Amino acid sequence: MATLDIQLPQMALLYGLCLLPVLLLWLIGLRLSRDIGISILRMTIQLALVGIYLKTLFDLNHPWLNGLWILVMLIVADLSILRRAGLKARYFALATFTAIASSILFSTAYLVILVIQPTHYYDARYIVPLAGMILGNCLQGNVIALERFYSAVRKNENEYATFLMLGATLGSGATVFSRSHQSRHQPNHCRHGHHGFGLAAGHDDRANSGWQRTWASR
Amino acid sequence: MPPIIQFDHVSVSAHEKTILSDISFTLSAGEKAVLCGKSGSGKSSVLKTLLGLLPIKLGTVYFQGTPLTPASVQTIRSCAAYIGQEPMLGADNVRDALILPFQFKAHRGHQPTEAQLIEVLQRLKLPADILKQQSSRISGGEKQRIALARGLLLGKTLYLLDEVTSALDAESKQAVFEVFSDPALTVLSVAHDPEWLELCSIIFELEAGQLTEVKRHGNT
Repeated sequence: MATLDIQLPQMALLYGLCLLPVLLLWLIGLRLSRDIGISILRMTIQLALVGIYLKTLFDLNHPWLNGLWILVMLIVADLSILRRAGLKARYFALATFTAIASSILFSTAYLVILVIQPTHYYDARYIVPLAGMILGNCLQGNVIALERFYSAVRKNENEYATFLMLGATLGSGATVFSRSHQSRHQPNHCRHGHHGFGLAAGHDDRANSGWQRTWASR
Repeated sequence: MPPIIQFDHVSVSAHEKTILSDISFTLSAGEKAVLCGKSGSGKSSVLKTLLGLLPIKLGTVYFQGTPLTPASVQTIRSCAAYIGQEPMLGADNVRDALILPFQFKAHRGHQPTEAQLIEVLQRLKLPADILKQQSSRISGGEKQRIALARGLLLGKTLYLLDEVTSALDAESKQAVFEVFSDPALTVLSVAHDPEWLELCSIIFELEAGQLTEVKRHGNT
């Protein structure tokens, strides 16, 4: 199957897509042109860098280099999740890294080995973008889930302590605690789903939160 | 035989503030003790320290002769029942709250029968149909007695009680007193209720995190 080579002028037309939200926001009175401009610039730089490093990885296509790159992505994502969830890396880094790495590696391997079935399973053109996309989609959900869980534990310390007093271990107590708070967290799961689909290069959730605050304060 | 509980020159700090300072006392099996003092004097902190919920800065807490450490704290948690002023039942309805501990590995396989549930409720002057009620719809006093019933179902012999009679009427209070008149039960409590103080054989007076007086009388 032939691939299409999109030229730079056609690529530049993509910026036209941003005109509609800019126009709509301007019409409803939200002066966010500067924020949107910064997001577009960030997106352009990020995608340009993504293009450069992906091209390099694809050209070299070395299994160890690809593995190393995925490892770097996992470590950066792990630390980013902990920082944004407000948790101390020295206590949580290993546990969250193990959870993220096992799920990402399993999902990527499943897709590459069973679905795509390339000649070489280590092919950078498949494993790197796939692992990156799955990781990107999980990132925000993980941040919110961890932040909500530990906030709930801090806020409802007595409830968690009660489970410990009743003979629960730290792990089983956390499971029962999560279950009893599940209904309260349910709406967020939908939001996580939305974030999962919505995350893209240039997307900055902090800017998004700022936008929501601005909207709410009107 | 070592005392069940021993505080040996224990000091506790949290958020750079001293909560308990150089506390020493012992409590033997079957004794009933009460911690008295003004609000903020550290009464509840003694119970929390014992349960490993506050970090010990100096000294040692012993439970059945073994020093309390992060590794050994599970032992006291599995032996003691802690009941606060507004106990968390941890389940949507009363029946689920009563059987909740039996889903944990420590108590699995010892789930009480319907007859045992009703018997323990009756001991605490609670009607059998309370089992069907939503936890959010029962009163504070009922919650305290449900939490107590849970401890009895678990066969706990050490009770750490924080103002456990604060929301009880005279009849319910009497039922609770009868439960704790059992010489097999050891109690360390926080209370202001004069009737409860009568029940206890040891009174620990606390002031600003320090143990200022220990009164003992033979009414065990």
